[in-house]
Amino acid sequence: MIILDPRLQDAITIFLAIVIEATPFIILGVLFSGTVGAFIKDEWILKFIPKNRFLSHLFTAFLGLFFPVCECGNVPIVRKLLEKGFSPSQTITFFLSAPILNFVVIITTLTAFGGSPIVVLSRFAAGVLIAVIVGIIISFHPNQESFLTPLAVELCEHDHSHKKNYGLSQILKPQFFTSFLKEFWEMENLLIVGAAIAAGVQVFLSRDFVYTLNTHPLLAILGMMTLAIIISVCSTVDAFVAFSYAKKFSPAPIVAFLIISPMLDLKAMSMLLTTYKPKLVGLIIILVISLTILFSLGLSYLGY
Amino acid sequence: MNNKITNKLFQIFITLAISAYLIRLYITGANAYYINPGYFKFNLIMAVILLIIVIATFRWKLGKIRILSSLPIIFLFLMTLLPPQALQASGASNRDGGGTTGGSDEANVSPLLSRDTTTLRVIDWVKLKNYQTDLDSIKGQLVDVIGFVYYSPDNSDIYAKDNLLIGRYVITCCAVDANTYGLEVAKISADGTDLSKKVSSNDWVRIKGSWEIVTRDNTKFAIIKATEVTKVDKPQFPYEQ
Repeated sequence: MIILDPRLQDAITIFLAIVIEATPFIILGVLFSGTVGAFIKDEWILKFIPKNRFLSHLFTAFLGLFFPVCECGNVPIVRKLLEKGFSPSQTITFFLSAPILNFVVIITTLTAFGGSPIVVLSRFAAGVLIAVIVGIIISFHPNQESFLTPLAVELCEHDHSHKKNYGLSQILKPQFFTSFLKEFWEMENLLIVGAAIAAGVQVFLSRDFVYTLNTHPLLAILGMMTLAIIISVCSTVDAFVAFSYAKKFSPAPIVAFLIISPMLDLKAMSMLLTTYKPKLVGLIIILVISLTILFSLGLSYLGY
Repeated sequence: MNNKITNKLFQIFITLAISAYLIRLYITGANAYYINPGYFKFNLIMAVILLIIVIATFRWKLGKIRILSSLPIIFLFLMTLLPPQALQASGASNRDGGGTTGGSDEANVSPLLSRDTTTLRVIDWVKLKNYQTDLDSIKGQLVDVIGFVYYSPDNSDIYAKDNLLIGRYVITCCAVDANTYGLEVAKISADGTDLSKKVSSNDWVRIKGSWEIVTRDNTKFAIIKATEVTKVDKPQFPYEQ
């Protein structure tokens, strides 16, 4: 039997745990997005999107309620929404809000923080608000398509240049299976990269640093945000992790953790690179971090 | 063999290996080292779906894949060849949430109050201690728990430095969200044995004893006074939920 250094062994265990946990959700997400593509006509969805810039992003922010998968399963859906004619900025709003406005996440957050309504309300309000603001900012770019990877451009152009058929027959065609495998392969590769980074950082960096930063509201907020990125826990359970810090931290840094954790998850961000160029992913990270700090500082200013 | 066929066989082989690995984990029960048992069946169903799709794809033409961008999946394949391992106890103090947990409300704790206290697990005691407004109410109650031995970090203001802790990882989703929950055990047992010489960090032990209440810096703490400490094998389900 191979005996490894305990920390290296833990890193491997956590790496495999992330992959084993997330892979079925990727399979589900890819299947779900393929099924949406086969049954739901592009024009049906587009008919529902409001024309107004703010309302259209608000609309996509709430779409997450209909897609009960976590951040890993959301990436294939983001690609499908792009294919269906959503703009990149709208899909970014969806990507950011869906892991928060999700029934499972709502239930787990209420279970952990039911006794602290400010934390629950702030998480969902800030989640939607930040997702909408980031989407709207990106929507002002004159050429949003320049943010797409060549593969994503090909995906969108291919679909719109043909008259498509819909229905059950579509999911029995070879194309459905081969595109499933192609998409699964791409997502899995980047999930593995994100999982390896998350596992390494989680094992080799001590979590104790957050306690030493709990001396000033801004430092505490930054500390909890960093912790959220480091541990990259699935959004469906991150409320329980945050709860273990609730005794020592005020609500503002806890809310910062609960906003950042689903939005800037290392695994999901890695997978997002299959669709968006690094410059857009970088912009999203900067905007989300800035807005979360602002929101959390506001809460702190109000005495929370 | 031309490049495209090589790519196709490579892609199918690796994807088959991933689905076979997930199925093997389910069959052997090694899933318990990585994820919450609540996800076992879901994982199995998705692995079988993946297997069916890969087999179905075998006769159809697949697009080209680049070997370089597939290195991560090759890395995963290599990792799956290692024997499954649960999280080591050595990292426990880095994951110690300081004894605070969700589920310490009346609805969750009430069923625990009526149970024989020797059947309570580590996480059950943590919930009970969180729920009790006066720790004296558990004074003298019997404890019989299995867990691994670890020591608190030097800067802990919750546990006494010399005492050992008997802990379990608690996972909600998978090992990545594992938090350590520990019960403090007095260094000197009821019969005067120095436990730090009898057991070491990472040992899996069964501890029987009873609760004592001590006061440090005007705060009450519950500590187990052990009457019996025996080394045991790691349980089949090393994590608690």
